[in-house]
Amino acid sequence: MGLIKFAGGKVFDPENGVDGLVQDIFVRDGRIVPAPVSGESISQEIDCRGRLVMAGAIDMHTHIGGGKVNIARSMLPEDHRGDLLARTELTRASCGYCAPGTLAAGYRYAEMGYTACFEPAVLPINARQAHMEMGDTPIVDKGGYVMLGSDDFLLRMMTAKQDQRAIDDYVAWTINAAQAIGIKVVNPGGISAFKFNQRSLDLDEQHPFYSVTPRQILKVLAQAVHDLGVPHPLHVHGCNLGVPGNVDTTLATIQAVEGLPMHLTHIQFHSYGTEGDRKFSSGAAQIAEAINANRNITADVGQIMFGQTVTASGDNMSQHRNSGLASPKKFVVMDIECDAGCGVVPFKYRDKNFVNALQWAIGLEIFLLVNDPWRIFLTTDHPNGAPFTSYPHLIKLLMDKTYRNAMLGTINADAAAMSTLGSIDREYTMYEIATMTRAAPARLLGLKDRGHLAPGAAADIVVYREQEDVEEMFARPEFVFKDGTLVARDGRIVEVTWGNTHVVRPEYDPAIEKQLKPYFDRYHSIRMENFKIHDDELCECGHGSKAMPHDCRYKRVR
Amino acid sequence: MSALTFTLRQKAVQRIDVSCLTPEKVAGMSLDQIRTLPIHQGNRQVSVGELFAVAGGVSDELVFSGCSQLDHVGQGMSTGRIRVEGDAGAYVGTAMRSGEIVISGSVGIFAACGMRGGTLTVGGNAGDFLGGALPGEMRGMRGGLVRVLGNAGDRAGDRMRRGAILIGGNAGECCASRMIAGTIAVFGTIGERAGYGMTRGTLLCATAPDRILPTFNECGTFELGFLTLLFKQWATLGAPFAELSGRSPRVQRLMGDLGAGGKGEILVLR
Ligand SMILES: [Zn+2]
Ligand SMILES: [Zn+2]
Ligand SMILES: [Zn+2]
Repeated sequence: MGLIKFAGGKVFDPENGVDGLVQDIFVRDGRIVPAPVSGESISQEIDCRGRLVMAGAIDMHTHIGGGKVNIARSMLPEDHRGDLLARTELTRASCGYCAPGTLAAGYRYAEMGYTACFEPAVLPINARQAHMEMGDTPIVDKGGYVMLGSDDFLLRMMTAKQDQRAIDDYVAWTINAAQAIGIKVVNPGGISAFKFNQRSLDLDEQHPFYSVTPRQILKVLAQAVHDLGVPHPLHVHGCNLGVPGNVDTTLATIQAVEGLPMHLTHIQFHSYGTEGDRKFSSGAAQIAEAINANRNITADVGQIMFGQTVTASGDNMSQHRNSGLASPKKFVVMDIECDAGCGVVPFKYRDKNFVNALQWAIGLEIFLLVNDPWRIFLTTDHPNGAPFTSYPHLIKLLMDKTYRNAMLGTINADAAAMSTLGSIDREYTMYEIATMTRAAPARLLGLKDRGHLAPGAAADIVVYREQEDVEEMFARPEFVFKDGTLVARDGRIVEVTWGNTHVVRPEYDPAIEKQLKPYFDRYHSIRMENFKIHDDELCECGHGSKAMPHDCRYKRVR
Repeated sequence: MSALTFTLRQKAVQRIDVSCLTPEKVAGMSLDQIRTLPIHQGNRQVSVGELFAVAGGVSDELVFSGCSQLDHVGQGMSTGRIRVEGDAGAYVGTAMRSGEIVISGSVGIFAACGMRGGTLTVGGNAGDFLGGALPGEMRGMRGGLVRVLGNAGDRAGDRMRRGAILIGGNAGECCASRMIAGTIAVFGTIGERAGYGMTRGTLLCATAPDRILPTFNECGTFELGFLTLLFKQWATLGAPFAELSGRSPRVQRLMGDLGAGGKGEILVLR
């Protein structure tokens, strides 16, 4: 493959401190390379004059594979009938607006300039299924966070007061076996407690059977992730999701890890106060203040958008609580092999509904009140807050105060009156958007060669035509390159490639298998050896894609 | 004003989706414009003119030459009239809001699914899920009137919410399954497991079912005044529906399905 020159574009590359400078970028064999010495011939020149150039965007929390997405798909045939994607010469037919098929998800992400997506809730026992679905998602790179914290094995270890070293080994073993890039915990201990008839489990409340508290679970898992040198901090979906007053739980959760790195996901759903006539208010200011003050904390927002979607979560407690609000009226709450749970509830967010309107405002308040774009991430928790296709609209809300305030004027008036959103002047800059959608997620996940444009990086490059309307600009980039291949042009797929799977491989003492093997033999539906996912499985299921291991203990200096 | 006619140029080998041809969708179009409309046959997109000879005048009445491959006849229509001379395929009148569809022959599965209003008349038989819910949907037919002179397949009125389905012939298995509300009347015989999962609504049977689900309770024999009014309303609907007019409203009443709340009723004419 020859040398490709991206000529004369305005480059936004926060990892390397480049803020809109006009620069040339050179690509050979799918990688960014230094400017060639004179005389080397350029085989292709991409005219980027008057265009913005960024690395491919990274969605660090999006439910695109695994058991519950499939439940959402099979539960919502109307979503599929209502949003058909016809086949073309190049792309296959697919469908689905809020729970798109794997093909539609991959095509749409790539058309928007996204080149990597991370599935945040891979249950260990469902990991194979999750990798198969991710492997069937075209173009973008994938990766998954494997879920622990309500699994019987860990809770038994904690009840038996096994030491942190043993727990570290179990966590590392699970990451390796499930081919994951991080650890997620959802309603720590609560998913398990639900099955013992608990309907809520507060941070310091003891599990009715295992005699451990969510705080203890968070602590050992955050410690394990830290000990193992896994770059991505413990990914936490906290207790009391969606419950008015949970802002206090969230603030206590931030303190619970005692300075260890922690990522709080869809924090919008965890930032609710109890003020006002309806005992529902915004806790965004307190949450943002706590994030600003605690540098060990990162968060993604989980912004909601008005319209039909489907909520899919491992949090069986909160989904059971919300099941009465299902629209259309159907839901699933289930156990998964005694190791986890899941709930799928279709939902329609309405702009004239007080609670929904305030949720919308709370998400935006958090975005705007957290100062550091390296520590707050742009997500809708697809599809829980809204489908990922709403990202360009969300970016416009962040970048354009006039537009935002015009939207604020159309929502439920009581909610608008309770929100401070209208008084916030901040508008995100292009550099900050590039940070939160590219550089910061790459750094948060330990992806050395993604999210930036310096020589050595993968040539995941997006070229945007500069436009007045940023929503339009981000919806349809002019060129999207994935590993040096032009995959989308003007919002249409022009070549279908298959991305790779990013993983980490923390080390562990194999003696942990002496405990695990008899446990699998006695309690599991699958043998320990079959539980482990091998590299060749990723390849077979991913149309030839590879596992891309990233270093543990790698810390990038800012 | 003559009707707008669509005559198949040759026997259809693939299924044809005619949902693009309803009175409101072709309103104001010239014949040439209609001929160039895209239409799906099997997995291909072709033009209306390739499949049909289009003739007649601009009208709010469309007439098709019948064929059991014609799917989605009158889907979502809200005005005017569609006639099919012969058979039609699946999904006839799904989500229809208003207007009239008359099929002289038989129709396939899922006719009148999710129908909200208007009338559908079928001269022959209807397939399964007549007036039912599309897979995954929580509600079936929720308004309007369906008349079938022949037999209906299984699951007629599945999850039905409102409106009336009148079946001149026999009904298949699980008639009125998961019914939420509304009225179904069967003039012939009725299959096994009628009213399975029925929460409310009325299933009127001219002939006593051979067997009734054990989750239906016998409640005795009554003369129900509202039936007199209902029969009078059906007097204009032709045979056999009009024949009940003036008849005694004496019925045996069975309530169920007790597995689903038990507020539905099966009424058997005495
Ligand atoms: Zn979550
Ligand atoms: Zn999530
Ligand atoms: Zn496969």
